[in-house]
Amino acid sequence: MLTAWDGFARVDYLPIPGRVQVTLSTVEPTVFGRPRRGLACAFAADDTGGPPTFVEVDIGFGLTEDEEVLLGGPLMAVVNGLVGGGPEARCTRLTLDEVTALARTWAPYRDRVLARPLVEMRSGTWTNGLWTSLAGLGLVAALRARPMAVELYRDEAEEVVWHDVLLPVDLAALAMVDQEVRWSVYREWDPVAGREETGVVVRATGSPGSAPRLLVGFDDGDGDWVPLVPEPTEPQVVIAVLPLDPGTGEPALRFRTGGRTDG
Amino acid sequence: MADHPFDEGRLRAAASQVADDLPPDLVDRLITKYGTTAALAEEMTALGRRVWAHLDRRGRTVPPDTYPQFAVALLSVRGRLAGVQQNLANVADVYTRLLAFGDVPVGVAIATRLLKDKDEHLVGPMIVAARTEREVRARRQQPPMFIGMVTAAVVAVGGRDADDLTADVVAVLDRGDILAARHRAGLKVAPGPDAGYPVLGNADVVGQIAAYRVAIAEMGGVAASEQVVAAHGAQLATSLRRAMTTTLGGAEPDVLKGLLEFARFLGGPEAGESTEKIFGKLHPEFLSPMEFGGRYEVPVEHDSPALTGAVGGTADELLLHADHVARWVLVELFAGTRAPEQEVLTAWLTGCRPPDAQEGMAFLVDRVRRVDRRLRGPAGELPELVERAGTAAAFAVVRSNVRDALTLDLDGALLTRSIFPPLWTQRDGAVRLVASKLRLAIGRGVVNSAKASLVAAVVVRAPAQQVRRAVDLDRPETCSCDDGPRPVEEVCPHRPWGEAGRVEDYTTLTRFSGFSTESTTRMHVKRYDGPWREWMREVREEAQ
Repeated sequence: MLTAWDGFARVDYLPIPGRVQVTLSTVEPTVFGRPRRGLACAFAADDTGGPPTFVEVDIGFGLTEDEEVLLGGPLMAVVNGLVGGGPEARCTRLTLDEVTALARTWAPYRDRVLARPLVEMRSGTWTNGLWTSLAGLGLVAALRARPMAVELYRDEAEEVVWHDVLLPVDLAALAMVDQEVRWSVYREWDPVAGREETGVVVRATGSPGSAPRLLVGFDDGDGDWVPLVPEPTEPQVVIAVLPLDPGTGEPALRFRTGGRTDG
Repeated sequence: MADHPFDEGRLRAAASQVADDLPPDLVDRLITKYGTTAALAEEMTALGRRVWAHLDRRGRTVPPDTYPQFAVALLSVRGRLAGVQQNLANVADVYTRLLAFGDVPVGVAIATRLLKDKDEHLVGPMIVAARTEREVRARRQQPPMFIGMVTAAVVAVGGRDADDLTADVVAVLDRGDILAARHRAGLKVAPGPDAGYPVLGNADVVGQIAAYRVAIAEMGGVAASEQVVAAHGAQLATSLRRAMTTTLGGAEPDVLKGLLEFARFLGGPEAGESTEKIFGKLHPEFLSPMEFGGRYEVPVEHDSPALTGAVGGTADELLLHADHVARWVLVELFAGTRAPEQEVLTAWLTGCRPPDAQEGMAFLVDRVRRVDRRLRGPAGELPELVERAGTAAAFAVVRSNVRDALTLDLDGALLTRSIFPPLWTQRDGAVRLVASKLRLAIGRGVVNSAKASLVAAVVVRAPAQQVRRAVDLDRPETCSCDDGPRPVEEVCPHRPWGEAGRVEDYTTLTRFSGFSTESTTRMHVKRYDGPWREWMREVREEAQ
């Protein structure tokens, strides 16, 4: 009987509404999820290590590099042959190794979609040298809970509430930081822009005598990565500041190491 | 005077091939009646002689190349009364009708015989469907299950020109795919598990089948749209749910009923029943969760000396020994197989199977375990080995590899390893593929899913790889195997096919399958009673 591991894929391109869909046919029941705007996926409900059985990507102005990485070479080859033409569906067969690669790549989203009910994920999954994605941290709630303030997060006068997350152990080792990473929120007046800026600050501690190579970003489809840079006052600490509007939906926070990106 | 004299040897060979290609449950019933398949073939040959004479008296002849169809006609395979036919005229009738369709492969001829009397009119469509399907499969990448169902439906719905059937089916697949794509894009799926599919199926596969049905209707001139696909999808989901609440009885899993429901749905109200019958009889393998894995139990006898080990002796003795071992390997590989399984085996043994292909993985893994068990254990009395045209190439490869291995003084597991091309490039993927099939066989639920992973991780091993029955409390979360080959006594789940040594212990198995503790894993290894229980038993009984 047919399962996603058999590798029979149907790749669809729909100019309206500008979408790529991939279906890995299976007769197993599935769980559907929408990790962020413009990206949806489903996984076989009982397969804790399986590839996505369905992926939906809104193209926008073209697929981001992240999205290309998620789909992987063999599927991207089909997608590239379809995009720009009329609506079309094309069938292809992935080898076992290609399905395995797909399953590894999607690990962060699989764990999140299959985790029911949605719980805060303080410790993520990291495979294939890509990124880990931590959802349900309550970034927006923390921002909203924070009273209007003009102080910087690092102002000594104000008590900053730090929240902990745990990086996957191999990712932390490769990025040369402690596994424990902390985040907090800030609100400050930007005199140049003439408005209040809000966002999340992420801080990690480097292993002694090393130059940490950790990048962070919101998993919101923009594909932006911000490197964590050393704090002048605390040489072992690296931080990154990510502006975030509390009016938007709750994004997941994701991490990767510096090896595979231009920063 | 007949053009072709009666050729007893040839008919016996054809009869024995037919006996081998029968569905397993039928073989069981026939063996109860006749003792062995050889005795059955003998009985068929005797009847064949009488039918041949019967036809000869009427001025008819049986050309030798139609002996396979002739042999099929000699059997009555329906219901409890299965056996060699009693009525000469019946045999002659069936034979004549089969011949009318030209060259019919034995497997297809047998499938037509499994139809009930009232379904006699489906014999022709079934043969046509089998032919069309083979052509479509050579041209298309779709899952064979979809191709089989759609072909059966297109043929059963009828009204198409026989010459264009292949093109028609391909057109339905193409059109169905784009309809399915549009339907999926408009489908509002709520996040979370879909309670509508408690046992089998999901919105995607149901949408796909619904789209194929709409495409078939379109071919008959019925205009269609995504809305129609959506309506059909909802209808199919409902029938699927209903099918799941009525069990088939016996050991058949519920999912089987569901797949037949797909086929029935494709045929629509008019041709649904015919589609289901054509598809179901032609493709028992699509309806089996394991795709013909682990169906035949070959008893192990413990009464004669070990097969391999140091041989010494003269070159002649070595050759004799090699021949003996090769025959055992072939018996374990091919015992009880039918034509589709033999094709999978032959492709693999002759090096035509890519090492990261999915086809027949569960089946091949099971065969590897059989050979491994045989070569490590004592040999019983060597059963007779029947060679067929299709298997000759594979047999030659195995014989030559065994001879080489023995000349190099390899024994046991090392021998099996040197005979078989790799079945995977990354063991992890093969384990997960097989686990997915086991899940369908065992059923849903967290514990069953963990069990499926456990059994797959235990069974999916190359010949020279073992499971260590021990807990490793100090094992780090990540395996540090990137540094190259590890000593055989160390446990590493990622060993490549050709590397001998331990691949699992209770700790790796616990982490992989998701059981909470090693003792839970140990308990499941001990008590497991599902498919492949014999390989689990082997692990728990083996001396370490």
